[in-house]
Amino acid sequence: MPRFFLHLDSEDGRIVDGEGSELPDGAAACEEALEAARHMWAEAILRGKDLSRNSIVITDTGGLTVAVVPLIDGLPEGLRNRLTGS
Amino acid sequence: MPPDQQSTCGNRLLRALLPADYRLLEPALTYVVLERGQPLVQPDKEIEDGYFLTSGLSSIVAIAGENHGIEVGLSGRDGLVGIPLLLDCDRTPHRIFMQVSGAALMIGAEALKQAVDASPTLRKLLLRYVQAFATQTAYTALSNAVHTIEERLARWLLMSQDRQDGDEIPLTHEFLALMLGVRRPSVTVALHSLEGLGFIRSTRGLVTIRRRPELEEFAGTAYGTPEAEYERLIGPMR
Repeated sequence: MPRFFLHLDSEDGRIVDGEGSELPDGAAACEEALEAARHMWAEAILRGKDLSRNSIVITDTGGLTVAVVPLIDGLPEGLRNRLTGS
Repeated sequence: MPPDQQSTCGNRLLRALLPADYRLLEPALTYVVLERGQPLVQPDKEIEDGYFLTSGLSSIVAIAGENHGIEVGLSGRDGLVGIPLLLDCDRTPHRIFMQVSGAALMIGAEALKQAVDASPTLRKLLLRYVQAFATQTAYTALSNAVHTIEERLARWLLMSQDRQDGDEIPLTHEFLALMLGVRRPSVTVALHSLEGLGFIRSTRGLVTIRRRPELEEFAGTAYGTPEAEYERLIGPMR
């Protein structure tokens, strides 16, 4: 299985995932990032933290960006639409 | 075997036994090396051996289906893997495996039962360990409910260091995610936070504790009560 790295980007810079995870493909890596985003929101809301400007950047073993998943994508649709104004 | 075998053996529980109780167990103990990932107890399968770990760490994981599980207990040189054997049970729904490689003094289930039946003082000490372990499990539940991921990570790192020599803990983020019941990226972020505070250093597959007193202070109520209980009931853990 290929290895994907899920880094966290925020205004303070990037928190690098140095180990990566074995996942079947890019789509599975995106799904993993979305699931992680939901968990991070759950914790963040409890602590009064705002993650709306953060995102998970998925790279492959060659360092190439596979996808960028804004953490907002992990929110329920109604809430997400309010935040993005769509 | 030299007479001071008990006092130099790595397992804190064996060290705490009365010498006569240690001698009762000693003929049945076999030294075994345990690799990372090696299963010690399989869910719902007969437990054939107990393990007094002398180094390394084992995890007791409660499992929900194929893909979900969370660590409910951590055991190393402080304890005995195979607690059900002390409670007249031959199996458990939990999975127990080595998460940091190490070694153990292994004892057959029947030999352990016979020794415990033969010596009330041995039984009492081992049952006090069961109580100490139950306290740890209760505090894991408490921590999962009330503490932040960073505090839980701090707790977990302190508990790991208690059970080994030195300040380097060889752990992957993947393991830590299972231990803490969180997703991988949350582990990456939590390690980054503790590193930013200067308490630890985290490199691929290795966490180094740099400032233990500060890490303990940071963990707050997430750490300390089960450890104090162990020392009250058994003896020194570290």
